[in-house]
Amino acid sequence: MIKYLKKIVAVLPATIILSSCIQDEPLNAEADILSCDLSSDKKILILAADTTMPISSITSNIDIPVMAGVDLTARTPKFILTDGATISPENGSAHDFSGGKSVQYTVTSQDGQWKRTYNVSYISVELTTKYDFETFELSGNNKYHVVTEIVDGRTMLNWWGSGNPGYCLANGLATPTEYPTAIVSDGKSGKCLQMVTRSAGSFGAMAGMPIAPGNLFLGSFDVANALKAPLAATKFGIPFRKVPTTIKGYYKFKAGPQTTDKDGNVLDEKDSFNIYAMFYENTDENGKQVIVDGTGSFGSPSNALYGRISNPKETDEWTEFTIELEPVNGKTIDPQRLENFGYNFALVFSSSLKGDVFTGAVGSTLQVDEVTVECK
Amino acid sequence: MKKIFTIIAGCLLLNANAFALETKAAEEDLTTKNSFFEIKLGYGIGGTAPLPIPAEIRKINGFKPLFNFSVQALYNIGLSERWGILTGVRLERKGMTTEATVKNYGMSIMDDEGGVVSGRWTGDVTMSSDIMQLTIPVSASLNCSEKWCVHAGMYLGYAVKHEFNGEVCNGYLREGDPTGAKIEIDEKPQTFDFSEDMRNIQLGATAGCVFQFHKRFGAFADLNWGVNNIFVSDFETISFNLYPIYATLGVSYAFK
Repeated sequence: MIKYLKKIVAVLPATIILSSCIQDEPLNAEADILSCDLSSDKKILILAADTTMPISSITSNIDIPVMAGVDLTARTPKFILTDGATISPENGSAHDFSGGKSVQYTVTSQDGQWKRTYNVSYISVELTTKYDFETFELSGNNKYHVVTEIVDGRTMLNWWGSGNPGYCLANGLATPTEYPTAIVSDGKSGKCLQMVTRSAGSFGAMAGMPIAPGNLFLGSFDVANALKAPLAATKFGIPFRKVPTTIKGYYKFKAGPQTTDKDGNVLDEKDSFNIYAMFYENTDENGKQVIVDGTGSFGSPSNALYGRISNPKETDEWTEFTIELEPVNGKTIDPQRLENFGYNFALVFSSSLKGDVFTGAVGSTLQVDEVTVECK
Repeated sequence: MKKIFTIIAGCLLLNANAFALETKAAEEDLTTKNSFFEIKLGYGIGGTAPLPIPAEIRKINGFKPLFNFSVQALYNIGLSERWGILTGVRLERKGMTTEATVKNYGMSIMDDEGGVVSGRWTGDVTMSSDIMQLTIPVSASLNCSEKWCVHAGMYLGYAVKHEFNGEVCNGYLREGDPTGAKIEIDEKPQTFDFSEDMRNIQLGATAGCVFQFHKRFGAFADLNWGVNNIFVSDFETISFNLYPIYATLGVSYAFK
């Protein structure tokens, strides 16, 4: 009996411990779209320059904001899901999102027990016409300001481009306000846009680009080509369905002490700045896409309207400027083309007038605020 | 579960047999010799645990029993020289704190405004269970020898105090079910309290032995295995049952 008892006493705790072993990990029960991978939409996105759009756990309608006027008939968005979850229709498959059409995706959890449905659509956000330069976001690497516009609470990161990503390659140690383009305080109201022609240092000089003029433009800067073809990397224009007529705003300008050319020679001329606007046909007669870049913006044959600041001067007071856009190249505005987003609008600011040929004075400072575009 | 009930039924039968034996033995007046009063002081080791540990529990990070004392006043009704019925009353505490990492684990947490959010928790959890119970054990007892006595039976407990609470941190709650809103909780813990959802009456199986190292003093070991969930049946937040399983070690004093 005692023997038995001993056995019982010995076996019982062992039984408890054995039956209490940690089991294999259960399969995931969650069925979320964690984020959208929009690398295939990179060129048309407004919202996210880095093409990853996080999705909140409470969202079941995903709106991907894209620039107005882009082709949405065969987009291939991809989704990052909870580990082990599956999605139908197939991840990355092509669907027609044009005309506001949405596509319903169903995510099934790894354990097969749970499902979530998501309605995905692309929404076109039309360019706004009033720019106060109050908001910015830090670039992905936290180095420089990316000028943003806020529309209906949505931050538009992809409207304004600048040469900051290129300057980052030349001077990685600069603080955000030491970059050529930044949002600073002391605007005409609130903050304002500041562009300063900076020295591109020995690295820039070696590459034949001794100065980095501050600039800001409607469009994008293609950092991959920043060094080998900086002018071509500057892609002007956003599809626009209104006809711009007059641009008004305020500026301050102070020229830098010494103007130099691209070889570093000192020139006997005072630096000036530039503000100009273009409205151009974004497809040619064959329907091929046209993007006016920094290589030939002033006289692009695609331009339908063009205008630039008429009497730029040095001033430390906020001074109003007006730009009237005039027809060029004998073109008239085609209402059909306009309706179909066939025109791009570009507004360009630069702290050195000849910055495009790397001529200018380090220290030239242009500040701009309260810009409005009047349209008809 | 069925098995446990079979064991209890077996014990009861054993008791009935003992009764049958008694009728024969009564005349022999041996029973009085085997009837005595005894008190036991003990300390419980064990825990309130799911069996088996469900897959939702990924890792046990810590375990700490509370001060689980027990005091018993028992009377052994001698039915024969060897057999008897051991019954009485016991006051005992069954408490422990466990730290675990869980995945998709049923949970209701309190928010800062005092509201309650229910759903599935993935992350760290600290659980404290503390039950103070008045228990009536009924066992068949058997003197195996001069020094050894064993008993087996069942007990019925009434909780005079019960608490089940704790906190969660370093994880997230999916509100409602795994597709609900994801509420992230960092290292600052949020609390939960299921004390109100606990059962008052606890049924269990008991078995043990006493080693009589002195005419009156003995050392004892008991196993008390709760067979019903510590929570009421309509409590669904924790999706598996928890059973109090405690071994008690202590000393006994018999008035012989």
